[in-house]
Amino acid sequence: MKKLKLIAMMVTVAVSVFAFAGCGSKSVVNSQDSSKKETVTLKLWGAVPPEYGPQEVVDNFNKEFKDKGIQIEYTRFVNDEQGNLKLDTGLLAGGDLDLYMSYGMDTLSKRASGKMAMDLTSFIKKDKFDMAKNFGDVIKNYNIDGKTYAVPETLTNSGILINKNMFDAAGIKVPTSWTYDEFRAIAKKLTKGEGQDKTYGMFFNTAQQANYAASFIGSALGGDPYYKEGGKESNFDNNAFEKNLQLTSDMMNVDKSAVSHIDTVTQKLTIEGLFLSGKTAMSLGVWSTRSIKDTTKYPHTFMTAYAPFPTVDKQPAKYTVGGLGDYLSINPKSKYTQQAWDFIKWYSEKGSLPMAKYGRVPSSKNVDKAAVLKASTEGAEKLLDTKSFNNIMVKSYTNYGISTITNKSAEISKVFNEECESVLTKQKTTRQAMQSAKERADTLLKQ
Amino acid sequence: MRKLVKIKVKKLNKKLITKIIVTIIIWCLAITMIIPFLWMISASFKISGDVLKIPIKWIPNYFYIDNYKFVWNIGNIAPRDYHFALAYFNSIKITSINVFFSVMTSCLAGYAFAKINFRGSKVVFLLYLATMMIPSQVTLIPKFIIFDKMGIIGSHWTLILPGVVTVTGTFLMRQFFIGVPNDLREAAQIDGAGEFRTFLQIILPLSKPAMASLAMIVFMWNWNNFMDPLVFLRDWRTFTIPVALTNFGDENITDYNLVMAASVSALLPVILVFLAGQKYFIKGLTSGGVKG
Amino acid sequence: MKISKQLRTDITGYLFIGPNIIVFLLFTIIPIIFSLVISFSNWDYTQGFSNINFNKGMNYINMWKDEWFTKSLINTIVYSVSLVPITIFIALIISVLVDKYVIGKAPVKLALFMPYISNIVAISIVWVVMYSPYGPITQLFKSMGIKNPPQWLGDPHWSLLAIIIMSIWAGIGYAVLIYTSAIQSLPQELYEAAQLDGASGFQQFTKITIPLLSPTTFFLITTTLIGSFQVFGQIYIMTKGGPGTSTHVLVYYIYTSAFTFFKMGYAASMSWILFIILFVVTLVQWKFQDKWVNY
Repeated sequence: MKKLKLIAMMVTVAVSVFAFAGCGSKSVVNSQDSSKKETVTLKLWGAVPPEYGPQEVVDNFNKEFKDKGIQIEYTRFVNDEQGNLKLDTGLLAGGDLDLYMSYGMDTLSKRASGKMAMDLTSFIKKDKFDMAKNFGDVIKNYNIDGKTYAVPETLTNSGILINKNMFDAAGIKVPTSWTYDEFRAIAKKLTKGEGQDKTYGMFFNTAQQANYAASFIGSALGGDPYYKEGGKESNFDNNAFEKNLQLTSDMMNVDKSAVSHIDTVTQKLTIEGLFLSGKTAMSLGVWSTRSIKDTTKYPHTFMTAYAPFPTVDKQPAKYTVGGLGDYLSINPKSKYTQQAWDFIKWYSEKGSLPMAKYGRVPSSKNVDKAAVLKASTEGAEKLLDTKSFNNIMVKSYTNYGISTITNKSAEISKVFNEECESVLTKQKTTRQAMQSAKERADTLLKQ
Repeated sequence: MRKLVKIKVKKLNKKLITKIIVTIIIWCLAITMIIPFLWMISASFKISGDVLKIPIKWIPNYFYIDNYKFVWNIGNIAPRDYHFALAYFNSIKITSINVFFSVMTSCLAGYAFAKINFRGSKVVFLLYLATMMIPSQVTLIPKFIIFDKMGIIGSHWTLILPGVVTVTGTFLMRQFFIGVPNDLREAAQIDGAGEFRTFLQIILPLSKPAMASLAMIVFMWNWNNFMDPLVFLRDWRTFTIPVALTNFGDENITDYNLVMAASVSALLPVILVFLAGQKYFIKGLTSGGVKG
Repeated sequence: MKISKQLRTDITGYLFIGPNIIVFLLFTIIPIIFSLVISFSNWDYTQGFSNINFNKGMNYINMWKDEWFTKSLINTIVYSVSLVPITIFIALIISVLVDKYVIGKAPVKLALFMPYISNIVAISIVWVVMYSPYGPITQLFKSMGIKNPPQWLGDPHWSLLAIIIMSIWAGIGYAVLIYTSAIQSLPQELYEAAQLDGASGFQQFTKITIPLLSPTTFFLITTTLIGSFQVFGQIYIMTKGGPGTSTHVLVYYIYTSAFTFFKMGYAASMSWILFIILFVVTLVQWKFQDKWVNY
């Protein structure tokens, strides 16, 4: 009798537990359109936190398209390996994801060749959506195998962040062009103090990626610096690498005007932490606009100015590092591809302006540059130097280096990162490191 | 007579002294073990700038509870609600189900592998043992494919279905049951009891300490599991604590004070469970569990 | 109909393991078979499930020429061989001491166990700070008069040691928990008899406790070894395999191959090599256990 009771109890518990489990796990489903004008909700995935622009964009769209029956729900994913894995598995699984952003041509090509991004050519033709008119002639460089798999929504640029107050105090003008030597001398001049009170001249942010130590090579080598023409051989024997790496290493280890790599790694230093607290006069990271504007989290009163990357010598840079980014694609498995395309059109033509408030400059030519500048500096007139901001961030250039080769890009990046790190931690000389990088990369490309 | 008493007292004193010395050493060790946590708690009450200041102030001059308010979004001061409360509920639900069932299945199977001489048992067990050596990253994508075909991606079933069985737990219980002497079992069988009855009424009560340990270990694994929910769950309404914590950390990684506040929040239930489990340990022993 | 006793035993046995083995087959064995199959291909999962090109085991040959793989293997072996004996030895001593001598067992056990029950993300972050130049460990060294304490996670020569120390700290609690629950089940009368015979505490430890705990020790060596070969969380958060490749371990490389380089086939083949290593080691231990494990 006792045994039966025990079994009965166990069964009841088991059943109730499973029932309980069942009711909590309802999957969130798109509202299906049963009748003609039912509202459909599309899911849009992006890596920018919603409060830095996307939510406002989505709200604007939802208001405007309410009676057209299309609504958007924004989900943020973190743009790292795990986050992209989540996005990729979502795309592979099925139709629960309609629109999404890819950050980087290599990521986009992977998704294109994996049939995870829809070929938009037919939509473009049908609506006579003139890509060149909207984004400039460069747009054709962003096609893969001649087809358009995404619409790039942001203009990305690069440069050096400058603490203008420190420059003014030292009588240095914000440069519009400078050489490695001039850059190095300025950094040295602005380095003061010792220990925890030290102010540095430059911060290279190498903890995030060691190859930030070689950020300037893009100006000389363009969008595919690691590859020779054709992508079958690596380019690490080009002495642009050595020169840039040597500059960074000397600034860190000889002049001690740049924060050393070891310090950056062991203290997990960040651009926001260092630059915005006034501990360094210059820094990489012109994408930090939203942090600059956030004075609650990063209280500061100095003005930030912008300068382009320095060049090896007086000759002007061959390329501008930057281009079109934030690639917006449609999931081919989506049930609402037409509505998704409607969103893309709206966004490209006028909807992306709110993103400018937090530093993401819309790529579309339809968006008025003056409005972009205004939105970017809005509320931060004392914190952002309008002239140089416009020059570096808002202006669009014609000589962008565009990345087209993606052979084994992830592996080669890793090789390059490791070799950079070995130079910065004084394990190898720049020559040894680049020789080793060339050997390893060439082996990878031959596989 | 007196001499004997004197010797006995001397011996007792010696034992007491040893006890005290060892206690002190172990307590020092224990405190060293928890220094990182003390740092964690102390950091969770500081403002961002003070976290890394030296010399280290273990007990801050102030208690900045805004960090916790931020994490739990009390008063809506955070830019975004991370829904920790909901994540708590999800974690508790999934973990309890998994603990309950996996302890059951581990005991049943562990006992069978240890004591019941069925054909193929050694081979099957070796198979179990073998699979322990495969890292979980490898089965992630295949599991994903299976779940996708079953149509359960995004639901808690992806965590519950595989979670009701644990290979390590089965191994543990087998080792334990091997250590239980056979005479009890034989006596019960002579009395005519079936295998299941023997198991339920005689063996199981004996294994309460082992079951309690297993329950706690499985609780930890499930509570802290972050790879599976990260990949299999999509909607924030289904998230468990580690995913919420990881999301939180990713966005606020530079603010150690906030990350520590979130971590302390995630840690609390686990500590409470352990403390409660401790009591069960003792109870299990004194209620005629261990053969003494 | 007379069912043979053996058959009846078999049926009972399989009923007992029934639910366990069904889930095991579905969610462990089948995924594993799948991974074995693709380990003979160079499948890139973003290409979809129809693009599997079999390359007849080339993965297994190529990996030995891959310096990332060989370095990871060496690092992992060094890590394991250091971690396992130290953790188990310390845990055994602590468990016995705590059980016998310590006043206030519960809080002590909680303290020892706390690292194990915490989220690996949180404790990894805490240890990053601990190892930083302004953290407690460096401060401690400085206060002891050492002028240039190691840079720990920033120095390729010290980084693996730093991870090992942190992992020992994190793993002791598990071993202590297992040992203490086993110790609580040990028959008291053996000790009482030994005490009457005049055996000292140390003798009781070596002649009674260690042999009686040998099944538990075997379990712990096996699981800790398997676990240590699969170290991942702390590497991912604290060093990402660096500086250079000094803390690059096997599972981290498997993860990178699968989710950064998208080489699922290659990642699967490396996991199988890992499996073979662990399998051989465990098998050897299994055979040897007759020599020293008492049941």
